[in-house]
Amino acid sequence: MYGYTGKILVADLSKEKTSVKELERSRAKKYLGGVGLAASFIWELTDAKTDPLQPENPLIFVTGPVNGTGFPPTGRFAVCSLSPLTGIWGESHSGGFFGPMMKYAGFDMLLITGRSKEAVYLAIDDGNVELRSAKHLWGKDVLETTDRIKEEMPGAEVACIGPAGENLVKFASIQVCKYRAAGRTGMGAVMGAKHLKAIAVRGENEIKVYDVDKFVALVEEARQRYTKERWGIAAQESLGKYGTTSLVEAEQEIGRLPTKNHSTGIFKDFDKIGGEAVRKYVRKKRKACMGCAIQCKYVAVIDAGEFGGTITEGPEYETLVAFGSDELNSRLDAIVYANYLCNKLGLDTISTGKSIAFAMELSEKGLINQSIKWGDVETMVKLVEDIAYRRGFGNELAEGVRNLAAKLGAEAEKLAVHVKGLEMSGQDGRAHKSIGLTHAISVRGADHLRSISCLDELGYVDIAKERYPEDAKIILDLRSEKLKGILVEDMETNYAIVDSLIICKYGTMWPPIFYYSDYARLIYYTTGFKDYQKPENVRKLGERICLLRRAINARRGITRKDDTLPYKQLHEPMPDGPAKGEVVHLDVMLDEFYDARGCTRDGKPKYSKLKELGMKQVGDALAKEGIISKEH
Amino acid sequence: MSSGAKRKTRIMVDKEKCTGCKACMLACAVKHTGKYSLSMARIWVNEIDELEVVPNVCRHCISPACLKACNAGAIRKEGEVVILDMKKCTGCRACIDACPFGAIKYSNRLKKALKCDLCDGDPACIKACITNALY
Ligand code: SF4
Ligand code: SF4
Ligand code: SF4
Repeated sequence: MYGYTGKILVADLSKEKTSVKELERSRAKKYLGGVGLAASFIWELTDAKTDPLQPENPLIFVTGPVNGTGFPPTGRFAVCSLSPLTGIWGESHSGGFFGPMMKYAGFDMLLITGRSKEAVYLAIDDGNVELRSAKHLWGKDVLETTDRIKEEMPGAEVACIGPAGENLVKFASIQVCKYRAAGRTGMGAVMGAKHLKAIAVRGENEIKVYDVDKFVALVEEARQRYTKERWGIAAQESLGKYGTTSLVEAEQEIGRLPTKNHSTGIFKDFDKIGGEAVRKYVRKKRKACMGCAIQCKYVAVIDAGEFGGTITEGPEYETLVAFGSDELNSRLDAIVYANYLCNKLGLDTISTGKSIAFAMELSEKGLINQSIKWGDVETMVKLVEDIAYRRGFGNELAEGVRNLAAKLGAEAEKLAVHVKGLEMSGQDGRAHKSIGLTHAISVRGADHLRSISCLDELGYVDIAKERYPEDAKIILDLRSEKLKGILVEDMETNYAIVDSLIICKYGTMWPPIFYYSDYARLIYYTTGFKDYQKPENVRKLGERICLLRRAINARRGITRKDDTLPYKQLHEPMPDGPAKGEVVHLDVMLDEFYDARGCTRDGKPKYSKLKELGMKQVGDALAKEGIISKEH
Repeated sequence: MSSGAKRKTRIMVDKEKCTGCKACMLACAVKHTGKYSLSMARIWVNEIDELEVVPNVCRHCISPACLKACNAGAIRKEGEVVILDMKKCTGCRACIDACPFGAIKYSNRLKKALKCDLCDGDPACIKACITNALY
């Protein structure tokens, strides 16, 4: 099959058995790859009762048809499973070099179930698969584990967990090529529960695309669009030069820089942790994911001071918020060090930083017997380690903001900034209404990357006019709830395709260079699937994936009441900045979104819509379980 | 190649600019095999540590050690460019040992040596490199 290796590795760790399964063409056609393909398996292999930390929960490493080819960027893959942090659909993405190498090693997807008696790692060497003992690695951090495995398997790419994953911290990450992370939704804990320390891949397999001449020309066109022309130059000037760090300044300007546990959108010391400061003080080298033509990554070095000698990739915007503004910390060196620790110990920087920010507010309000002061970097650093090793109060934080709040009661719950159990990423719907809806409806919890719109956020006027000729003005209005349901539905569909190909949000979201007609060419030249020559069929693919993930969540009890926002954003007006006085009025946006998505007003997939998209079986199953009615 | 452009006789490397993206490797592989891989590239990007990434590729030496070492007569000079004829290559690895830069690799799949041929003067790797680490 063009674009694919055509093979899935199935590993049952309880039985210590691995086997190779063919990727069915019909399945690839229907769900393409990435999160779509993974969702099709999670739908089949789990049910309402599957416990995310029990052996039966499948852990899926998945690529898309584009990964491993030359299309920029080619280095991504996703990890999907049921999340131990949220209890629902979990997905987490990473760049780097692991995804393509997985395909060169022979597999589009790894499907891992069971639980090994003893710690193991999975070594995939040019089609040969071996479960190797990881007893010598258990307890070791990410950096050492990666180095040791690379000694055993030179040239391999390694994805592994650190102590946090071993200790089942609910938001443990899977670290990839050391510094990249499949960070969100606790995929590292799923790996830890399986006693799977790492996966190492290496191989010489080659990927064939359907129309190589057209494909190579499209790669060249993409490279031009990423580096030249109006958006390419802008991308190089922002992402190329600063990575995501310059968002600190951009968000401060629109009053949307989460500060003091998402109390406000304005941080007085923003310039101490922003893109310019990063460039001046810590950025030492530009880096990139495989084949990328934007190249937003960088290496940070702290030369001197108490954190002197720290070297790590990042921090990204999200980490600058999580350990910076949101904790009222303006020390960039401490943020870099906290980021380094998270990479080393295998923790999601967003959930870790936000849990600590929550603890700081709880402490200030006297809701816990701990002295955790705003901006106290010593305590912050200590808490990161305590979370990973589940020591003292760190053990409480390791359960995530939602669980801790539930223990502490109603006052604490008002301060807990999460949706569906996932700590919120660095945006605030009060200053940017469409992101409020995005956080609320995201299938994995309070996350921006499933459907954030940068059109309104960063003011892409021309693109808004192209895509929504009649309504561009309203679409672009940051603080109006109008038409945001339409916008967010379109973005979610768009990104579901991006996440199944799998390419990057940079170039599709920021700047919004690629859209359905581009994906149509890309998919067709890669796979030869004729249906996808038509952009409207590509869009349908995105809709299928969105609804399948929703179906998985619906089966696990998710309804409209869960598509909500933290108390602060619904009930406490923004205290200062350009969005002063604003709250999010979710209901109108939700109605509009559900209608556009093909859901009932209760947020569940409509039977008629599932049927229309060729997913009658999914509809029948939901109807049989009494979750939806065939009438809708 | 586009008319008027000068044919390249050498690839220059500025390792300070290299970000390690390997776009050059992918472009090289597809140009020579019609497929995408890292294993079939004739240029290699070596990550030394966090701060140092070094692309390595044939220098097209004036007096090539590889050419002298090859007993099969598989390596020849075409003008300023050193060409390895895969049909004649026996996979003995003498050139690999001889090259002072480690710029020839052995392909396990082909059982032959892999070396840059400068893409007939129009290097695909240079076009793929957005940072100008190759020029
Ligand atoms: S392969 Fe090595 S010895 Fe031969 S021409 Fe290239 S750099 Fe020189
Ligand atoms: S010039 Fe051509 S053959 Fe040589 S490394 Fe570059 S792409 Fe490969
Ligand atoms: S394309 Fe350029 S920046 Fe990327 S690895 Fe090759 S030489 Fe380095």
